[in-house]
Amino acid sequence: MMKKNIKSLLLSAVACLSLVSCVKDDEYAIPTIYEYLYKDGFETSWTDWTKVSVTGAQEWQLDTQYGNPGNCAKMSGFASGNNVNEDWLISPVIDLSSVNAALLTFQTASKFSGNPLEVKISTDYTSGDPTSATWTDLSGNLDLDTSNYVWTNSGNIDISSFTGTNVRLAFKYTSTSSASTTWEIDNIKILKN
Amino acid sequence: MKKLVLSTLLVLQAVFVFAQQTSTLKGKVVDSKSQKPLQNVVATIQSTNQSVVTDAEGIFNFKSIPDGEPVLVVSSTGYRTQTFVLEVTPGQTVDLGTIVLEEDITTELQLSLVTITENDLGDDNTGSESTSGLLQASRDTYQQAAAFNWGQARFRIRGLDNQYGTTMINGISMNKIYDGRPQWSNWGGLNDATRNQEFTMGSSPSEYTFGGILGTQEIDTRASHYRPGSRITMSGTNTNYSWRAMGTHASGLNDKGWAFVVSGSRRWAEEGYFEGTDYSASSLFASVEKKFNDNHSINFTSIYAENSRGKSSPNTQEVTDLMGVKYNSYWGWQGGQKRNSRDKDIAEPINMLSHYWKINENTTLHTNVAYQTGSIGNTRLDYQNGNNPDPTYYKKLPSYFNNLGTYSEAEIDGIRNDFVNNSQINWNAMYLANQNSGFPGRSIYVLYEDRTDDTQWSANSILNTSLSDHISLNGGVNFKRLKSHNFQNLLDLMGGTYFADIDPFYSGDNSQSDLNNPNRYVGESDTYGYNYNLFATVFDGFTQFKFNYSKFDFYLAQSFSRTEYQREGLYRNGIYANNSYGKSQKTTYENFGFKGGLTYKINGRHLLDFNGVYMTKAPIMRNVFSNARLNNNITPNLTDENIVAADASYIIRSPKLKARLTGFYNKISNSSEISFYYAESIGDADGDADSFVSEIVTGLDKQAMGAELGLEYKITSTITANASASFGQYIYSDNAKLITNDDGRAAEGLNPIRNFGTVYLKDYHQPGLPEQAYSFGLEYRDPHYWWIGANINYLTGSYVDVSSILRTDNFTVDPSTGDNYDGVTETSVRNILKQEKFDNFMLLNVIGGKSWRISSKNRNTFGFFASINNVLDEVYKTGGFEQSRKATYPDLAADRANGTPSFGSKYFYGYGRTYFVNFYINF
Repeated sequence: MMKKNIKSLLLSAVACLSLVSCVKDDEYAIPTIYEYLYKDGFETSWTDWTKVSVTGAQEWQLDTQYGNPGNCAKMSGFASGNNVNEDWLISPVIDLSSVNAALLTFQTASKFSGNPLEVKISTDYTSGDPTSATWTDLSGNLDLDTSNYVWTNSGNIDISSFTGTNVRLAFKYTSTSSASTTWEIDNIKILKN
Repeated sequence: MKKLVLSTLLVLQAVFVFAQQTSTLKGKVVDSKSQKPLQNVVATIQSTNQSVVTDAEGIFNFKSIPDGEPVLVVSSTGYRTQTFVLEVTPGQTVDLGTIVLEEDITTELQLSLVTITENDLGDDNTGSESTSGLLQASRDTYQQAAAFNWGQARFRIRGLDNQYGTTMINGISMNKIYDGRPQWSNWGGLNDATRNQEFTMGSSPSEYTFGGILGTQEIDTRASHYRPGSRITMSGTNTNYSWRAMGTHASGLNDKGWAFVVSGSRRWAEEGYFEGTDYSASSLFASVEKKFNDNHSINFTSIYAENSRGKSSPNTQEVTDLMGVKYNSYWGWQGGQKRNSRDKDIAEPINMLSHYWKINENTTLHTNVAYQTGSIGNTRLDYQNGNNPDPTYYKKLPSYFNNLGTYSEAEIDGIRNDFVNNSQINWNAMYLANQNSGFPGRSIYVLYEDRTDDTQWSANSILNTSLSDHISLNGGVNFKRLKSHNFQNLLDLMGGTYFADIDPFYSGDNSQSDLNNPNRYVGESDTYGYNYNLFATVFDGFTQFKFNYSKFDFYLAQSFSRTEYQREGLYRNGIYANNSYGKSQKTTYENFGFKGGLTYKINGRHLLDFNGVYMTKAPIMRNVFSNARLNNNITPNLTDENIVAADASYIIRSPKLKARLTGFYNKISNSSEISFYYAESIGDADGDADSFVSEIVTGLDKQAMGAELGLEYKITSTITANASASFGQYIYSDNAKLITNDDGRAAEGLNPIRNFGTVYLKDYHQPGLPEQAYSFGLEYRDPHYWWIGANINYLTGSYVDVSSILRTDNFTVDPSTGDNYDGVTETSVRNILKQEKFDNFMLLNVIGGKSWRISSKNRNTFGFFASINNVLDEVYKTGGFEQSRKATYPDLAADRANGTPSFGSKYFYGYGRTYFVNFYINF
């Protein structure tokens, strides 16, 4: 009788415990940690970027003084006067083949009036003439206050529709003979979403 | 909702009633020592839950009992329960003759239990204490282990705070509307006068209330229910008090229908277990009953308990390493005496008038009206333009200088010595500073108290009726009206002649506590700082149907409640000029609950029991006004809690073996918590200013599941073994939301509310309660009235209270870049935010006692018992909390870099080896 009682108690104890599914000690949530598919502050990567000067003598430069912080990319069509320029700064190949959602952010700063910077993305650019590839315009916040340089966050730009393949980003600079803004770019990041 | 309740009522009444062939049962119950008959002993047939009580001659009578082998349980408060297996022939009368009840030693144990439940945790200023739940001793082996053996380690049954239980006196809930918890001190020390108690566990049915999911405790103070006689006890201990004297006399019901009970006690200590914790408590109790006839009795109960004691500080590891676990930073020498700066003073007398109406054989209606008024004060030091008087202020500790990195080892040694030699509050320095005040007479340091003066009316009516042999109905309505006056009360100018009622952290209007009466100078006993009323009106009702059949019992119950809260500001605060003075809007919560359960009797000795409940619960008043001291704001996003709970048990009740195995699950969703602290880097523009903020966490989901085992086996007639185990996991089952209210932002004209979004709490453990506890004990009871017992307990799985603000994106994301801070990786953040698990520990307790009959003619006895708790003198943490000050990853990482943080977690410790000796005389 006693044995039977103890046995049935133990059996039910095991049955009860098996219902208790426990979380382990290291299975706790933590605050947001960004996982970047691409992160570039031009600290070491300048040579990996493709610079294509379509028009004009001025070209994209590496600025080592005024980045946010450290280095940044810089372009101005001003050289003892405004000059007509079209200059592309094209990123290295960024692999988005293993994700299906991604966000792009970058920062810009500008001074002097002129054309705004254009931001583009392509899945088929390889090298050489940018016009030979298909580019899609992206819209992000730019530092449009040209009175002084203010590093401005682009905000999250959803580039999920370009995932599943390799992509390249481009910043297209244009200036005219009457106006040429100085544009600076830094901290380009693509966030796994 | 109301329709549903009504239809349930109607359906249940339509159940048909069966008749049955009857056998009868009778017996007579006497005291083992005096051989005198015992009145009010409860006899219960286990399979049918039929109960009768003995009359003045000690005789009980069942008019019908089931056939077969029913089990009879004979029990009475203060006596060992007797269990009989009967053999019943249909239609026969069973006469058990004389049943002898032995006094239960564990009721003597209960007298020492209070020392545990009164030990509070936390230095919050709430009125009541976050003690270990309904830990008075019931007869359940598991609950006894939880109370006597694990309670000292802050074990909580099913991981539940005691706001989820209901503690009643005569059916009136004693849970405070403010925080939902009972204020044990209101009847502390009156152990003899409050010994008539009934318990239920989990959501199982009580006759008095719908209840919560932790269980109910009902204290009956009806004078005629006390066993006549007198009793005096004297005790000595080294826990929170040193000495206790207690006396009680109960008259019993006389020929004219009068009965009365009086009781008084005094407990005191110059210094309790922890340094500087003085204790002084006096309690008085009186209850008078007049029985007019068999149908009507009136009872009046008056309870007065005042309690004043010094609190002890939680300490960081750094401080404990330097000063020891008994160290308490709250006291300092003054005039050769230890003076504690943080006293808690409570006196809230209760008066209660009860009417007992026996409408007919099957129906009773009990109606009670209670009035409680009094005050709770928590003292603290206040200062203006002076140094922080706290000896453990972070800028006085070696860790601070060590973390600055610019001090040599010799210099840090000097600072360490300074701290060790000045480790207590320096009262003299504060008096001196007041004497040398820049404005003569104006105190820099004062002692004040946060006061809560409550006045509450309660009324209830409880109906209990047998609708048939198998169906009974309980129903009740309750009404409560509370006015709670909260204010800062100046106690001691400490040598000065006045204090300025301004907040020196702000300037202009912002520094004024009351624009209607600005720039006041206040003296002792003046109100200053903040001043407001809280009003609450609560109405609730329940019905419960119980069905008893030979093979199974079941019950269904439903409840409805309506709660209304309102704040009334008596000051127009300078920071919140437009929403601090006058009445706030009213907030109303309507809540309901359903529960049910089934007991299946495999046979008389083996039972299966199931209970389930779904209910909603109004937020406690404390959480409704997020910044109650200063303004009328109602906490944003605050909602009802949703509560689901279920348990299943296998129960064995045989004469030799009593066992219960239970699996339980409970989930409380949409809970909220408000806390107050200083934090850096949360919301101010510069990112490095300190802000005093209130932190509001909403949408918190708490989940508990596990198993409980209680087992008692009589090895021989004198030796009993018992084993208990609790194995559970109590976690936050989802992330929550966090906002802060920052007065500093309001003073700058900004929105004081800042939204921090998600607080990542999922799968953290609920803090400060052991998730696993095991107990094994042996008890020897000699026929010559002496006994000895010992038990060993192992507790583990207790965790620190994590800081919520550290678990928001504010911790990892730099607002200036929108990106993670440097050094933030999955691994680094996971490591630094890992919840500290306290060390497991072993508690060995021994206890023994003896009693003597003084004379053979009467039941006069003399006895003593003594216990030693934590014989091994194990040092263990009972709780602790992370500090919230370093609210970003780089700040926290820097603070921890040297291994001794300036803002490390603070801990509470359990008692080491303690004793309790108790002498008593019954006459």
